[in-house]
Amino acid sequence: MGDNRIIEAEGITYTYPDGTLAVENAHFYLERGERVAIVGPNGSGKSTLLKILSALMEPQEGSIRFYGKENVKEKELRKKFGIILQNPDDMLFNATVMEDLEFGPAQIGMKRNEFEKILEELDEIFSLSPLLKKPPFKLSEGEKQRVAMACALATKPEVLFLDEPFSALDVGMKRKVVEYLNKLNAEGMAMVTVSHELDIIPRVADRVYLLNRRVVAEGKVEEILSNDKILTENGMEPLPVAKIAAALGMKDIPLTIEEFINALKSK
Amino acid sequence: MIDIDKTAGDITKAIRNFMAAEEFSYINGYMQGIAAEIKIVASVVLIFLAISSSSFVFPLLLLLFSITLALASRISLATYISRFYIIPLFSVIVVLPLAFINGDTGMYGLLINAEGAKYVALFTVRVMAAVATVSLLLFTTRFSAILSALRRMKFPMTLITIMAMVYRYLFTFLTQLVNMLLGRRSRMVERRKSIKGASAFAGNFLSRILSKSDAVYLAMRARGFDGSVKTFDRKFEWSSAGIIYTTMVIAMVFLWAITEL
Repeated sequence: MGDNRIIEAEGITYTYPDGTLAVENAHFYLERGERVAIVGPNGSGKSTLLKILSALMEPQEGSIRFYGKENVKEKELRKKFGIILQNPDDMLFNATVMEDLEFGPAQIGMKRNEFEKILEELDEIFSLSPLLKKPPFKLSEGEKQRVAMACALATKPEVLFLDEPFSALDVGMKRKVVEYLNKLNAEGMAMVTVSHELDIIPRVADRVYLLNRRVVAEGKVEEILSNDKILTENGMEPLPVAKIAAALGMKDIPLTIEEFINALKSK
Repeated sequence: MIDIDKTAGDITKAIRNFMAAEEFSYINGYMQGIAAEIKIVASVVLIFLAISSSSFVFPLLLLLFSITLALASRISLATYISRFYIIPLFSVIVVLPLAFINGDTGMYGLLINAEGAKYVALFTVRVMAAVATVSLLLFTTRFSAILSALRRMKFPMTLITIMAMVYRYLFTFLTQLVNMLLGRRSRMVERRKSIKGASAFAGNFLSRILSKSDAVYLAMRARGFDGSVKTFDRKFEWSSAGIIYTTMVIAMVFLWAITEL
């Protein structure tokens, strides 16, 4: 079990300098190739926990082990971790989109020809070609989010951390991106997705942590997202499809429209 | 009274125009096909020659040379000139008094010093030629290519990192300013001009910039930044365009020698 774990955190506590307690005594683990989500209401500490788990911030209390070791050089982790921060504006700080895409791979010492191959693949998914020469500030919010995602994926990470990654994407792009992320996951990339919107979670995660400063619940997606009571108690709106299914008295609560339709058809 | 919207708007527009110039470096034009090292060295040489000219001939030739190359690089004349006309204008204002100190020749009721007036004109032409040369370099070379070339040319790493950071934080500065101006305008019925309002805006802006710079630093670290900015190495290659350009620059050096020595 230990060898398989990429991240193992215990008793994580973080308080901001203004006294705001963001995360208290939280635990977390991530295994190779896993898809994990951290859900919770606004201000529940999700983004802070994600930054701690991705080694961008250090917890004030608690311990965190990466690849079974407590002291891993940040440089080593950066080669393996890709991070999409909540605000794409923070991620795009170069003169052009192309320079932003090159930034990560250049920092980790990737060869140019390898980067060019990855870029071709990313271009197919994120439709980057028309944006490459543009300065990031000229992009729409959706375009910025696409570019920010491509920037994080350009290093071919072993673990991808996503902080509210789909908020500005249109439906078609969201579907395409989710499919691509799941393809990368099938090839071995682990994913940690943070979101306060539950509808996307069944498509990007198998295991969920419900966070409200502390880890309130942890389990398989279907266990947590079908638990109306615990979600409501922690300021989350249960999925409409799960609510309807519960009202119809279904035993196995579907989490997506497709599952719901299939359940109705099989009745 | 200070019109903060207009002032901040003008700053934003100027920076945006400056940043937008980077787009030209991706166009398939003449200067874009030349290695950054050649352009940097040539620009330094040409600027040095321009500022050390004692006659109008070389700076005017250099100006013409730069404009021709800009056109060959598919940069329109209006775009190119709009980038650098303002600096020579400032330089005129700085040296203009020299044209009137100890004036002896009367013109429209003003006493003009002929030598001083000549110097003002020469100084302005020199500045114009130098700025045109730098603008051509910046228009046709990606910033990352300039950094990469400076690194290969063994410039101090600290200097290169500072340049890279300043350039990056300009974007943060710009985005914040645009967002704040939009937010302000969306809740204003009429423009107010007050020092109090301006100072509150500036204070708020600075504190936002500070927190934003933390966020950008975090994003840079997230993508592997460890204190020194690395860029993809662009191999130095002599292209035919580079050889022709170098020949033209050498010819310019000879022209300078003929006119000055």
